Amino acid sequence: MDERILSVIIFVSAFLILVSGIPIWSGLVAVSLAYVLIFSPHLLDTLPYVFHGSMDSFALLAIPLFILLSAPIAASRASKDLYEAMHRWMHTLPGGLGVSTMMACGVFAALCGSSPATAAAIGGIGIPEMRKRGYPPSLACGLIAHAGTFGILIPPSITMILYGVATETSIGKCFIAGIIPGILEIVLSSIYIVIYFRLYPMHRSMAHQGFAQPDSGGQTNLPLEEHYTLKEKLVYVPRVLPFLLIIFGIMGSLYGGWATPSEAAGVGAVISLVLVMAIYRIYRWEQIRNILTKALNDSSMILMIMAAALLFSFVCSDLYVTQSLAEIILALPLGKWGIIILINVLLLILGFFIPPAAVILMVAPLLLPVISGLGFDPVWFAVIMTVNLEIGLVTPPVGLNLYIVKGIAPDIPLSAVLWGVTPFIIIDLLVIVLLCIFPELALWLPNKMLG
Amino acid sequence: MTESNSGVWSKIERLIEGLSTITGLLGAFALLAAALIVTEGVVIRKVLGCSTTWQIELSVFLLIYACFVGAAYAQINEHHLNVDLMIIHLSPRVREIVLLICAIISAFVCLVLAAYSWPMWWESLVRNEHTESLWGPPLWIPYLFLPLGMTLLFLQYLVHIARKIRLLRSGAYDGEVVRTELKEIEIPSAGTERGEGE
Repeated sequence: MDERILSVIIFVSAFLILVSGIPIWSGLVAVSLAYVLIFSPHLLDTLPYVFHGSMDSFALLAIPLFILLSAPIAASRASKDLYEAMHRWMHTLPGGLGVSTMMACGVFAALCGSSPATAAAIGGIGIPEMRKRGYPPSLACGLIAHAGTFGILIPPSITMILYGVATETSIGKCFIAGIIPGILEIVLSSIYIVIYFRLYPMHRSMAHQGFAQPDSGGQTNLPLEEHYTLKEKLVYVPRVLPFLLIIFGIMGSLYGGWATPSEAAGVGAVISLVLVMAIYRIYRWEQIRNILTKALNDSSMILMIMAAALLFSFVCSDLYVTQSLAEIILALPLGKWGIIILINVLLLILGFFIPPAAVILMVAPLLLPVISGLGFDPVWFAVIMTVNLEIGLVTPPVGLNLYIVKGIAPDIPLSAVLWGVTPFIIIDLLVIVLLCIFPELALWLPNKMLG
Repeated sequence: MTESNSGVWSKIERLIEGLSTITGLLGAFALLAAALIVTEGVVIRKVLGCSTTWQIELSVFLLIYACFVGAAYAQINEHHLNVDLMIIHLSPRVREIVLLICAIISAFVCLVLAAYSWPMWWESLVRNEHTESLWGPPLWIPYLFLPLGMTLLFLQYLVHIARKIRLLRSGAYDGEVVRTELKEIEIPSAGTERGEGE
């Protein structure tokens, strides 16, 4: 059969099987098995070696270890403390609460690496707090849904590891490449919030004056301006600082070439467990067991998808599907940037339906030949891809963060949440455009890396 | 099905789940052990300047264990991620039937993987193969985890399928499906108090 037709058939069938609701890993293995049986049955005996071999990698160890790093932090009250600390330092800005919520999300997302978990942890405190201070509900919800997605861009990010392993790109470089675009997203979103409160001074004054109640004419018995003394600001620092140091330690050791991502994750996991035990007094057997088994559940779930996806791309490449798909795309009369736009649209659409981890694992190995064929840097593409998938997390029908936000504030209609998140989606798209115009935004830091 | 039969079956179910739970707890501690071993390796390398062959190899063995054997543990609470785009829009009965078919396919996949990987393990054991490193542990140890894990996962799926069938018969399926990715995330209710210690 013509490889080009075959490649289309394989992808459509894989997509359809996944949509049926089968676990992603077994769906991918089932598709691979079916095509091996039909087209090259002699490969059957090598499949267990491929499946086993996909896990036989020290680089992959970074995934469970980063999950292990985040599990104790997610189980503790760290998110509340982080939020409070950020608020005490940032509340004087117009829209300061929004900006500090964003910052807290950025830091927590970096530590915990999971988008919905970040939205739940920070949103649970942030949304009621923002609404209490007169923030329009749509803004509050949109902000949390969006800020939760920082987790897959800001290092350490699990999806970046998946990309690195699936495409044999340096994981350390992918991590470091996410830093500046991540900061850019936070800054642009913060600017939007500040502008919002300049444009709508009514909201601003309410949001600024603490617990203003409109029917009492702004006269409340609560202080108009919240004010924190330096001591009140400093009291949260010792609780939050160690976790910030973990992030900087990981980024620094990767940047300086002192450690591989797996080593950084291992040391980070041990430190985070010790910190949580010391600061939050989590040391009962059930608590430790829950933290560890949750980490095992998440790790095994992702790693099984990883193994299945590697098996899938092994089969695709054996059937010459990967190569012919690249040929099809490269032969399109669109030019270099036309193809990039096409790929972005494709990623956006896939992101609407399929979770980021699965999209990266299925699509990245296929698109990599196209990307390098066009002369783009795979590290740059890692960032482009991630920002695309961030958008998928806040758009229906599967946008997980929308679910979370709806759960926290059930009284707000989905349309309002969507309305609130739209400006942030535009910001994400803007970041993609900026990354295309100035690839250095992603590549400057990793290219300066040592080691 | 007679009373005694269902009694035997529920015992088997408990046995399978017990097995997955014990091996899963081991996997949870394997992750912790991997973190400690990697940390030890970093310290040794930085402080003493020694090479870290066995640390790297052993921690990768633990990774393989956590992935394949942990998969059965993750299945106890149906933690394996799926695309629920379509199924959340189906009527509960149709949804349960679709999920039952998916579970049967998954069980079959596990069976095939187990059937092909037990010989892989057996061969490495008979030929007394070792890894190529200086440390050189026997290869049958890491090779054991894939067949073991897939066998456990297959059994776990059987339990799951039996439950689904019983559920379909009794008609007591839930109205809503819990999304896999959100299972262990506690969504806080509105009005949660902000930090203490003010």
